[in-house]
Amino acid sequence: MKNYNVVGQSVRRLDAAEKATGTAVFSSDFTLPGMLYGKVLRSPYAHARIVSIDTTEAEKLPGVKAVVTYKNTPREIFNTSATMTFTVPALKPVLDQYIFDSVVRYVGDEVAAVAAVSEKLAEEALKLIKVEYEELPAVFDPLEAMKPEAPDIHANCKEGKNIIGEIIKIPMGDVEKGFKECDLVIEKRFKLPIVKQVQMETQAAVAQVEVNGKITVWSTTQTPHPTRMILAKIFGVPNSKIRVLNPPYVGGGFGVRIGLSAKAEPIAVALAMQAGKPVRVIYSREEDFMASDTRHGGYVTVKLGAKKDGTFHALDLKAALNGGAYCSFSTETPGVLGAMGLAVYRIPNQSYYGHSVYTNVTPAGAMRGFGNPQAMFPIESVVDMMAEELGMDPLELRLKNIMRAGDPWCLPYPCQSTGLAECIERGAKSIGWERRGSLNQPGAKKLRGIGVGVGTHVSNSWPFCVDYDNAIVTVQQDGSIHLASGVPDIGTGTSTALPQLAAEVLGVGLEEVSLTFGDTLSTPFDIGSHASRTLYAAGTAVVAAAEDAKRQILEYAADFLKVSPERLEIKDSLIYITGRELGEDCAGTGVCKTGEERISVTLQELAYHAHLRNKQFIGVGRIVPENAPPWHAHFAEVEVDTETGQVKVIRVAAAHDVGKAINPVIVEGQIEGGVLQGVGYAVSEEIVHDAKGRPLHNSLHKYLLPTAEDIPEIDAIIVEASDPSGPFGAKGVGETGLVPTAGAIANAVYNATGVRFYEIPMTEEKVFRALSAAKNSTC
Amino acid sequence: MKRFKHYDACTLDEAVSLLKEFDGKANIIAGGTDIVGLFKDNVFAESPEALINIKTIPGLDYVQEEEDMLKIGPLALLEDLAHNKLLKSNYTALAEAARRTASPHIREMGTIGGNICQFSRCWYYRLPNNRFNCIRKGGKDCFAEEGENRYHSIFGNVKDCLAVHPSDTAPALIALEAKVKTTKRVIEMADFYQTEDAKKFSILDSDEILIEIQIPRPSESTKSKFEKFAIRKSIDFPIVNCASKVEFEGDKVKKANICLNAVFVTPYVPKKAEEYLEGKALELDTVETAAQLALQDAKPLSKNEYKIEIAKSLIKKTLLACK
Repeated sequence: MKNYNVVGQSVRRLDAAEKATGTAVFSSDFTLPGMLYGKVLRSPYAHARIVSIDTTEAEKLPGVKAVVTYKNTPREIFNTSATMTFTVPALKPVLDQYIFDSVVRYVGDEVAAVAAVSEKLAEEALKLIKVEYEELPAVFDPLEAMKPEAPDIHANCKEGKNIIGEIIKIPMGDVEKGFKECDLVIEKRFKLPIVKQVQMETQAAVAQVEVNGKITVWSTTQTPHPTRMILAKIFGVPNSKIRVLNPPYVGGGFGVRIGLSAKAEPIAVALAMQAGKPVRVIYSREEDFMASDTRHGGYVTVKLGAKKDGTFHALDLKAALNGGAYCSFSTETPGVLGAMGLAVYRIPNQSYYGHSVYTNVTPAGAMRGFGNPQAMFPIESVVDMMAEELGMDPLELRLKNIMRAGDPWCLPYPCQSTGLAECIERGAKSIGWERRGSLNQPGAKKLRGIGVGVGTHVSNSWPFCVDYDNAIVTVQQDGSIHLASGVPDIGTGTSTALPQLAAEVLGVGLEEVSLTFGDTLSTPFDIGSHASRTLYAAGTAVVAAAEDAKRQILEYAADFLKVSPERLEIKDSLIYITGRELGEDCAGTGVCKTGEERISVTLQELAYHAHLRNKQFIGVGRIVPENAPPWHAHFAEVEVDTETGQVKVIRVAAAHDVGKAINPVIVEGQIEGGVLQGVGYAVSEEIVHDAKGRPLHNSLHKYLLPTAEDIPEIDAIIVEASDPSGPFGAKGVGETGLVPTAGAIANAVYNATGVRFYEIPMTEEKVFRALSAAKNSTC
Repeated sequence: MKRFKHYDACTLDEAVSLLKEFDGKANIIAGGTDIVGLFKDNVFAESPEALINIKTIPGLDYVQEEEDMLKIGPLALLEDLAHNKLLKSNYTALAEAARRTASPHIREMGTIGGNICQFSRCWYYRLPNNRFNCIRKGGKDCFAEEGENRYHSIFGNVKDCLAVHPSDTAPALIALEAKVKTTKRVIEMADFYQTEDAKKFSILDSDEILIEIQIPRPSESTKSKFEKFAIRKSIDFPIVNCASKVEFEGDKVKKANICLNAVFVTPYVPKKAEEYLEGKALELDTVETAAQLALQDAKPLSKNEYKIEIAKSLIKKTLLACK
């Protein structure tokens, strides 16, 4: 393995001191002189027409500077997610939202907003807005919403009743014939909950509109450049007159703000335009819960066929997801669900049919894993059932059928690497797979079990979505390096890992590199932070820019040292001739004897030498990433209390093929955080609604996110099956930590109790009920 | 959040006269961990007009044993009770209940008085901006009856309300046979909660303040224990909790006190189980029978049958731990 100086090192994060001391700036604590506070009036009904809206009393309240409704804001239709800027033709993005509309479609939908000199006044003003609603029939379940008698939520559904956008169909081989050739076929339907990202910082934006029409928006977006495009369209302003930036930190994302931060940006801009003053809009946690994208719940059906020897021969996957009231990413999510679901195993006959359905609940959009966890809990459950039917060890069955590099698959790019077999082997060793089956004493009331789940993912969204990156590496006159990349750092360590890549390529220390990021004014266009792409794709652009700058440096140095550039190398900011021993050279001292033969030169000296001769080294990286599959195997050990129905996750061994860990500690952090989110998905997290569509889980107290005390022991195992397409062999990791987790936990619960769950989360109530039913059916 | 008046009371008399002045439209505030949340979320259609702070009244946070009685001031912090050595050894159930309440930050703010006087945690009752105008707030419906009732009563309703009482310390105090002293009276803790008036939870009149908790010192042959079942290890209110106190005579039970909470509108004392245990040794089958008897009258709703088994399991655990 090649030795690197900066890459592969767990260097301390460059944002650590700022964040640990509380000086890092986020949108939620960003202020401007004269800034007003914006608050939003939201619908109490799941579906209603606004018959009348009267804002006169609110406008009269002293201190209120702007009141906006559908009557005085742009009627430009859009989609809050970045899909409207990166849908690949001939597909067309679904546009179905206005800042405000005369119909509200879920409890929490925006009705009006107020800007006032204090938050309290803005809240009081909201109470003075008189709205008369005419309630309309509402529907909350995707299967119900597809029935002919269900209300139409939008008028734009071409493929079927309330079906959002296009139905995704992925065919491969001949499924019908395939199933006929199978010895064993298992078909099951699974139900999935609506869950939430619960990122630390709620949606927030600060907007400033200048007299000359220029707009600046500081916000929590994960994609500043696409967000600028969306705002430009809504407000009819050229892209170049809008600046969108993070200030520069973002308190998490997990997909909730790929595009706009719900509607924080356009509402802040609309209020700022009317008030003539800067306006800040921060969502309360309750607003964040009820009025920003969730993960898609819904139904997934798996039909898997195998030969007697365990060879998988046919797979049919179907999904009907709950898209909620507006499209957001509801066309892409079922696509990824299908594509990832079909990509894990080598099966000659496969098909997928999936889509989202409009309902009157909070819109569903992107959340870490983006459809993939919804595919893998069902698939990995059915694979486990198949192993039992076949009398095979679940690991053996998986190892027999998993994809290998070079195998054909349904994805439009080749599978060039896989470390999945190694993930399975190392994870099994860590959990103690051999203990499975001998964990419980007869008559025990607390039962232990071990289960496994595997999966894959993407490293960016090409060729499913528009996906490209630019980066600029500038060598300053003193030899230090400035890197500009348009991606944000949403907490994933991007602002450390990208400088690591530049430092490695250029042969300088990490302390020489500074980064500007997440700003449309000072960085070149970049699609942004999503799809586990930031390190892989933006990193590829950074490597390209650094290589470009390096080439310029070496060409100039070649002249300076009077050798050919191919003979030169850079290390620790010293350019030297390969193979020549560094002896009495004057490099770095600044005091050279006249006529001395130079065999090396510091980057500092060279850059200033160049500057005095009107030259600077500026490297540009402009790339379209390829794509690469990260792989993962999770092993969970659980303890099920058969008296109370409580499932405790004791330990998770999470083995991840990340290609190359650029910063191993950051990678481990990503895996651990993902696993915990996966544990919540499996056992406790869900948002339920009452009969009128009012969400009952709307706060950190009620929404059962695992707390610090609930974290199981997690063994994050890094596997490095280098992929030729990624920077230094790296692949995506950001989303992968929760893809196979729920499947592994459900399989462990089955191993412990003999009861199979077709629905998550496995709450106390559901587990108790299922255990009682199983008890009654056996005696 | 509604604007409200805020008074720092210097004496109990002053606090009482302020309560009288507002005639039911004022509330006492101490730690504020419950009531500030209610205000912030606009839980009530009409929030109280004033809050009367009693933290400014000196000397109400004591924990002291006098003769045969432990006296606790209403402002004693949950965190202090959780770590009090005397409580841990002689009044174990109370120390454990305090320790299992909420999170460290909340225990540092929250008081024992506030914990037993807290409002309901029913998610319909509690949803911000009074989205569910339930019986407790003057409405006509209990939304849990046909709705999401996984956390609600397993012993039926009172005046149609199915919301459970969420306190962790209340069942410990009842099991320990505590008394409550107010500005008007001294009553048994077991009689502190009422079901006549749906708009309030305790017997306290609108001008009455809790001023002391009194717990008789348990005999040498007495042990107590508290157990809580919640989904997460921190923050959560109980799905079910249980405190038991057992006084022994030799190896036989002389007297048993059991109190469950979060299973009914008020803390729930299973009298039949207590009586059954008298004179018996605490063996596996006796505690099993006691648990069965305790839950004999349970009538679960559509989604909370699991709570019955949890309650049984906690009764058994706490009783056996007293051995």
